[in-house]
Amino acid sequence: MPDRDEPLDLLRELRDVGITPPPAAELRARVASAITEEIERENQPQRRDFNGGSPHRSRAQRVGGPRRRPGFGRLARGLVPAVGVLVVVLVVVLFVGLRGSGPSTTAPGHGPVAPGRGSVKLVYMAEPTALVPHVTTRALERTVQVMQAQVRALGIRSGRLSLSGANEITVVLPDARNTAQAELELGSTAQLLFYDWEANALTPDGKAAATHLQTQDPDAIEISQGSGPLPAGAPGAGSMALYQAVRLAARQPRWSSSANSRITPQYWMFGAPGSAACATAAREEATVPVAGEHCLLAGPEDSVEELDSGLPAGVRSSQGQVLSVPRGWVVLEAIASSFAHPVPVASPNAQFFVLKDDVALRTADITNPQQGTDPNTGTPDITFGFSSKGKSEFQNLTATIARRGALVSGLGQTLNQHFAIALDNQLISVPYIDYKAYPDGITGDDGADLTSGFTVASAHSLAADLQVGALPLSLKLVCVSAPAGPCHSPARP
Amino acid sequence: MESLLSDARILRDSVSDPTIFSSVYERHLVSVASYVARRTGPELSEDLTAEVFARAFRKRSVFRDQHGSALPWLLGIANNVIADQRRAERRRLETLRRLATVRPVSSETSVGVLGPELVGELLRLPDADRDTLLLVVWGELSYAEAATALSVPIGTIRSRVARARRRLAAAIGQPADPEVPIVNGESHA
Repeated sequence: MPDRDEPLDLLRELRDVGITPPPAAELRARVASAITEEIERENQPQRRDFNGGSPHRSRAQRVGGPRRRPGFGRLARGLVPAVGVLVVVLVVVLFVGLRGSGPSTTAPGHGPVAPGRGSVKLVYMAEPTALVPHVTTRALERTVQVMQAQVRALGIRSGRLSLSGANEITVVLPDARNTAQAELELGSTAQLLFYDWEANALTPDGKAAATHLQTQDPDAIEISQGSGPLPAGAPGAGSMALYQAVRLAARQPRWSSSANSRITPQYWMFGAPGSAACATAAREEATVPVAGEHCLLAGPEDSVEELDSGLPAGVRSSQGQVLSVPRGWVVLEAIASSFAHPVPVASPNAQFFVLKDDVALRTADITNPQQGTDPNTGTPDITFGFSSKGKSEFQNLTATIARRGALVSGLGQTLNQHFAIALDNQLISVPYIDYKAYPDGITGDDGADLTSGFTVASAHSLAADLQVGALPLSLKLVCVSAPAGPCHSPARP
Repeated sequence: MESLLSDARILRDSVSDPTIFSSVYERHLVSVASYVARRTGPELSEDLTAEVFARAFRKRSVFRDQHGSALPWLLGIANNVIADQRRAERRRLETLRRLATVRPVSSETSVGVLGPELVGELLRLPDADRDTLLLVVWGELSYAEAATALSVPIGTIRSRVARARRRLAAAIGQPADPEVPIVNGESHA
């Protein structure tokens, strides 16, 4: 009967009268905060922490824990002399430097939190990445897992992690003495990225090197084959000074793809040659401005506001020129010649390449990174395998490179093509594929081996960093405080 | 990127890994918040919704899956939270009644003038009947789900809804304004 539910129908019509639902984000944050309080309450009487060995933590432990890989190291090391392509100079000191601070012993502390007394709370804001364009619960959970592994790797046994809002992760460490080290290590993992080198590297006038090799474009040839004794990817082999590189990248059209390593623009601020701003910045760094060259005042940052807050004391934002590198392009520092003497990004001696941000493989595609010893040289190295997806991507990448090598090599000239491995914003190796020996590319079954340039400690540190895996989300430290105290913005490195 | 795991599985796993409880509230936040807001008004809904999930978190180890979804269970908890706030619910219903008086709920059916009677009767319903009726109408649960939510047999749900519907129908069957045509359809319990 059509009239049967009339009272109920009327009630249904009534139900939304006068209701303005609370904004979803605020509601979510309110509920998340209530749950966090519950979690903390639950933890307190039992003195339980998220990292303390529950069976459900085994996934993170598997990622970060010790492992044995019978035969892998031998296979991987055997591959290197045979293929001759994966010999990588890894400048780990630079890797540490790129995180914005020196070694952990010299890391800045925080005034409000007295070292060594009581516990400390760090609050991180999660932001989307190219692979995870929205902050989802699953991504947050995975991020917490990676951070748990990081906390364990720091030897902190009772750190507590919790989701504390729609996009916030709170870390409570039992001892404020851990703060400086934790700030350095937490929330950032080594982003190892593989690129097809010639297909993505730009010549100084903005052409993709690969498309101009057959016409014998000298800039393209230099990027691909190096210059004299300088191999591909080295400073001087078609590289540019920072300002030229950033300006070139800033002129490129935005290219949005799931293969991007970064989804936001990247902002840089430069001072004009001979400007007062450059003189002030140089004075602060105890250097001398280079005549006729732009100087880096701030950056790279994700926003103009951050750029402003990163300016040297005494320099106003109006004194600088802001360049914005759109999504889809990256500025990578050239391979450093010595890990013992990293070249700071702002140094006038630093050299850079601009690449289309078309990542072929990334940290998530590698497995079992281990610090070992290169049997040929006795020096520390890192071996790793590829995930099943990584294997096929590595094969595809190297096959594409080998085919292009065959295509662009003419009579009497061999133009082997390369792939590039970058760690954060630093090129660490640009190995070539011998297209005659490997016309169909290289199978990823045997993994790969990063050798040379390591100390045991640096290889161990990077391997551990790679082991915990990439963070699905980008994290920004927004608060450092005593657990119940007021929030202080973290000190800038 | 929704979790593919069932609510029951997530709740069970969340006993040892509390962080994954967030998947449950992400899934049901809107439904629970809407239900709470409809019954208690927007001012309190945020706090009360948070309280619903906080209680659910404390009781997560005793969740028993009967419908594949934790929503009936959550709305049952919401009913308990609302029960602690009867005065708030009364205020909300009084507001609804005033709103219904001054503006038609639906101009097409001219039921606006009926609103005050309907809401007034809703206010006079026994709490258990109102809880049951509103779980079905505003919480959009099936009778079986409502039975789970309130931990009573499904027959009890049927009789409570029927009784409440009969009273509401009687209320709107005696309109204040006799010119408004009424179809009183409640002919069976």
